[in-house]
Amino acid sequence: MTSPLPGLRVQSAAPAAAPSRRSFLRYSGASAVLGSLWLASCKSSQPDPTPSVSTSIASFSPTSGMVGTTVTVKGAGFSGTTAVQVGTVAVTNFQVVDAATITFSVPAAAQTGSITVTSPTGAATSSTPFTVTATPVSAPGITSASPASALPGATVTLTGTNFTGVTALTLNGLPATPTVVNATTLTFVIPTAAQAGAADIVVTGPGGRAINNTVLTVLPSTVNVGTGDAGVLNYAYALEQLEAAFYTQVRTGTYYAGLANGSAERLVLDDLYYHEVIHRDFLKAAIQGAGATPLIDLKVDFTSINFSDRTSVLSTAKAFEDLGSAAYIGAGQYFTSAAFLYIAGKIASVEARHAALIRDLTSENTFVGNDVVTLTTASNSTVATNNAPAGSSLERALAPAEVVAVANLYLAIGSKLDVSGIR
Amino acid sequence: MNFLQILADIEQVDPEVYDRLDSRRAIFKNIAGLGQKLTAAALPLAVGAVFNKAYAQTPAGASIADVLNFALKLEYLESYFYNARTAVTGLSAVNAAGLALIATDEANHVTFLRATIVALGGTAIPAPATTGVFDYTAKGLFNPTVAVQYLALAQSFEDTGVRAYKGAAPLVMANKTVLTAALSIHAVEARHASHIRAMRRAGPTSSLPSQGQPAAPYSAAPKSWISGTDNGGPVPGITDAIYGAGNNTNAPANISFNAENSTTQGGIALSGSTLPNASSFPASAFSEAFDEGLDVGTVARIANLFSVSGTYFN
Repeated sequence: MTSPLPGLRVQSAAPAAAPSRRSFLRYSGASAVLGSLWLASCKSSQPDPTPSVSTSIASFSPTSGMVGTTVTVKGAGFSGTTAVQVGTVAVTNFQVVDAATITFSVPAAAQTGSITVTSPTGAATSSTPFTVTATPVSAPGITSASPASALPGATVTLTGTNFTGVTALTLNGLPATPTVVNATTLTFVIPTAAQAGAADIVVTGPGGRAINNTVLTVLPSTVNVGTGDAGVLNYAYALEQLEAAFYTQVRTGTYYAGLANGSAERLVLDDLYYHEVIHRDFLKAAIQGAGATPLIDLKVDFTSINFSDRTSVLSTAKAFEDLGSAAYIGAGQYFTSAAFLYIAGKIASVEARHAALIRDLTSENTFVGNDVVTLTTASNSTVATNNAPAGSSLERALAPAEVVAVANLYLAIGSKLDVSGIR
Repeated sequence: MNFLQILADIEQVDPEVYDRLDSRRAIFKNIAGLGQKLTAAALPLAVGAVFNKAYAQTPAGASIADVLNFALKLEYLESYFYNARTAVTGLSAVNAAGLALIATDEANHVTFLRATIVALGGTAIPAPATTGVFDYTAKGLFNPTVAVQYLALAQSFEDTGVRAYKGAAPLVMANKTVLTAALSIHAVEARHASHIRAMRRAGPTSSLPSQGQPAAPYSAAPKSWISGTDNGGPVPGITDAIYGAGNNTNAPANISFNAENSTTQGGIALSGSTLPNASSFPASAFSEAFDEGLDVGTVARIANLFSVSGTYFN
């Protein structure tokens, strides 16, 4: 400030030893009083500045810990702190204990990084990082499965604990890929080779393994037709179920729909449908009448058949009719009752009539093709007696196991036939 | 195949089996063909033959070989009939070819049955003479050189054959190999029947027999399966017995030889009300779904229509 008044000499005094923001100016002379008055009037518009301290971090403790650890930061200028970070992760709840102390707990997503404190007097970052250590993971646990019983190939939801990070799952020792939904839920597909019964499940995660053999039952992929005459009748019933289901579906398809009313092929497919449904329902009633238990309603798999295509429909019909005919020929020997053998024979010749016509519809005069009625080469069935030798013009017999090897291609898992009891 | 082991195994189950048969040494002498070459097909039949006497359950003491000899007679009837197809006029080439296939089958059946009877230790009937034994005119009722009539006869023979083999199956079930063979031939006859019916349905001159349209009451234009009694068959008044009831006098237990229009099976009366899924089905479907068997006596009576002597099939 320059002196506006002449005649005054300004002497600056040496600053006092104690730190002060004032500089005292001594005025001497006549103007001193005036100068004092002037100085008195030359008052600053700012308030008196209080002594201010920059934000700084001196230390923090502990220097490492897992998520949730309480950390104490010592430093200065912490009053009014607006933000604390560990690395780039914000701490949502920190405690300003006093201007020199802040406490906080390590946030969930935090990773190793320096601690930053931001307050009105500035921002300070620690010179060394806080090390975030891994939280030890607990071993998984299995509580329940849904559904509690299921077929091979089905998807199962497991409920439990500590599933995060699970990488492996086995069922009866067979591997299955686990899909972790969250810490308490995962799903997997039962391996197709899984045997029926209580499932031995092992779930492996970073913290260890869960083992359980009570929450899930694997349902059998096959249905056993049984033994004795009832077994043979159930075997026939199963094949008629397959055929009935096939012709039922044929009649809902566009190939059938495109056949003219009264046309030869439509009439044939109608009759085949009627006959196989009658065979199926008769055999069920006959089995019940004999005091035995009929097989379950089988679930078919016709995904490989194109019901809008004549070739697909007729070639499948031919396969089923030839198969049925060969099955009855090969099954007769397993009856102990002449009456049951005779009844089966009544159906058997109708299947052969069906087969002949379907073959002719596909190609005229193939009603006794060499693949089923051996004119020149021997039947290639593995039935031990070489049942249709070359030049015999016998229709081949197929053993029950040979028949179901084909039939099972058209039956869903859980409905595949087990004929090991027929012998 | 280990004969001795099989004999020993059976002795475990039935210690008295050898009392029913020849002594052990004699069994080997009596297995037909031993010392000669046996075909692989005949071998199990040869073993089965030893026990035929002990276990065959046939009416009036008929052995399995007897049943097969009767079947053989029917096969000769058919075989010679199909051999005569070349005299028929009015057939399409496709239909002539179809008959040739059937002719081959019937000749093969004759050969197979002869070998089987021999393998069982029986004696096959001598081959009948090609003239003077069978009369396909049935004493003037038919002209078998006319296609329509020839096919009517063919259907008659095939449908009769199916019924005959079906009725015979329980008679041979003691020998599983013979039973399986009988069921095999039974199925082939059914295929023949199906095809002959298609030929009649579409007409002798058609090249597309499978595309024929059936027409009720099915005597002239039948389905490939028997619907009711097909109104008495191809020639009502003459062929009715082929589709009618048989004679149950000697029928095995729980087996009856019903007419082809039967709708009761295994004691269960079939209809749309018994089988709810079939409630909208045409009534004919219930009889079509099952073929009926026939007893030997009725089959013989039918076949003897074509026997010059009238008694060949007795």
